[in-house]
Amino acid sequence: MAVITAENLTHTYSAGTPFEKTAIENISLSIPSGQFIGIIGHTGSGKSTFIQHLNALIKPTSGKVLFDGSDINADKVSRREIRRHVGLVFQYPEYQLFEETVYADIAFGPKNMNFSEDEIRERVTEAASFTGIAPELMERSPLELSGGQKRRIAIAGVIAMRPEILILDEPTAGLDPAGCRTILGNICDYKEKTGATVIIISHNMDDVARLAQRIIVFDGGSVVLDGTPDQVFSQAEKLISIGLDIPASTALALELKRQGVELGCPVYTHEGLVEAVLAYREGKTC
Amino acid sequence: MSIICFNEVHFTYPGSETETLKGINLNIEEGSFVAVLGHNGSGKSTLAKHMNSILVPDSGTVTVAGIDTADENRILDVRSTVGMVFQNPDNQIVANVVEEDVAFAPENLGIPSEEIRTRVDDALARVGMTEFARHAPHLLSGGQKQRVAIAGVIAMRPRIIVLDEPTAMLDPQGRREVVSTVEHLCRDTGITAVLITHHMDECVNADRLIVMSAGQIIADGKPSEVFSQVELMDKEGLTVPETVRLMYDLNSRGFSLPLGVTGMKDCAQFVKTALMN
Repeated sequence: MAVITAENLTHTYSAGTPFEKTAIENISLSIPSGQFIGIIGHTGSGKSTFIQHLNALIKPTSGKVLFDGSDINADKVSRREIRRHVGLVFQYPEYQLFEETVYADIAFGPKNMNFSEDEIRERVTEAASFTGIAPELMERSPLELSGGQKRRIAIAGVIAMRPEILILDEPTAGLDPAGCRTILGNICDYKEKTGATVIIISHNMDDVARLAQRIIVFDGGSVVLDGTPDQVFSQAEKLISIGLDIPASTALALELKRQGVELGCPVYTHEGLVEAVLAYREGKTC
Repeated sequence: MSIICFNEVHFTYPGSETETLKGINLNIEEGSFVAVLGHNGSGKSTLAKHMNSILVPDSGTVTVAGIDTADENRILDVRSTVGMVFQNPDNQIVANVVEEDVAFAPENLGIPSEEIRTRVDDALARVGMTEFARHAPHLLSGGQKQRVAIAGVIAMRPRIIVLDEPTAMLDPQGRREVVSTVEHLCRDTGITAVLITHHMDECVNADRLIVMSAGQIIADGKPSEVFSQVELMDKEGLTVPETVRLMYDLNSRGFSLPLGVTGMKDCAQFVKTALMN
């Protein structure tokens, strides 16, 4: 399966004008297949600019993006080709729904790839089932459904392309807790059943801590931390200093430490915190 | 004294088969900071829209500062008593300069221009946006835009401000800015604040927390009292603060900690004491 690599990636908006702004600078990293990656960072830290490079939506000012070793911006054909492999779900994707029926909206991508009717139907059905869209909704207008349902239809439209790499920019923004849980469950399900690589941008540290195997932290256009949740959240002070939240459980563990109860292992999920306190009671340090 | 009173309020949207508000009785004290928590579809936004006559009850009554919101002759009085802030910051800003946007409502109220100047300066200071007075609103962050929207409302000097999910589209920093602005407004100026949200962490410092589900109020009390009802909150699919959740789970493993603790320091103190014994 595919590997995507960024090499010295730099992007400057409005270059040569008074509004010139370098959004990301000299980013090099590699994303092996099958990882679940969380990208965190303050608004304006460059994370959205970075992911838009991964399917050639914007071109680097300098540096390269490689997909299985070849430059995705080499020519028009490769730019088009990359979008079959890398699916990108924007922020508030429900604003992009436009078709008359839910079915037609989900089918839009596969249709443009000139698949047969049967193939399209199979992909739409599969994508709808991944995102929990009931068959009876298929002929309804997407515009009359709830916010959470619309969001899932928009995600289904990308999943119908069967991307090997699925990237989502704040997929739970603006949803209520139940809506968030459903969407994240859908995404995990897709990853589990297809083995796809998943990259999510999120402001919710608790979600990232719980789901991601690897966390990449952006600040001021650069990657400042990159590692497992253990490694990243053990740097809680650093995260706070760049204006990021830390998981509530990590904050509580820090407060306990301040009061003299040193739990002795990095805590970043609720379950981890409960276990660490119980272990402390038994005199163990995990 | 109660400034907002709901008396047996029922409401059904036209064409809908189910009632969105199923007999709401609610009194809100003047000067208090009240948070309303609930899922999408729980009726919390419908409740908010009844507070300034955007919607009026099918049966029952809503009064604000003693005015019946269903009285068509008093609608302007209702609207100048209750200011609303909505979810999407981009939909609420009308002018090209921050201070002009804040001046929009007082201008429409026919207030003399020197008085408008005072009100605009005061409103921008209250939300911490004075230095942006002459900036273009579209270049501000989401949190800053919402604070401008709040300034626009308080420049009308309403007695009540109702915020309908003002933080849903903001990042964590923007959310903190908006919630702390609302809290300070309420504490410093005595304005009554009603904050509709689905983020439980925004409710922790409120005087009172109301939880809605399926058109009814299912919990009402101090945030610490409401959050300590962990089973109820779980059943509703709502989250409780990590402090409460930790104590709840530790209790099921042999600890006996109080549940109504929402402060990190206090929570850590209790856990520490329990561990030392």
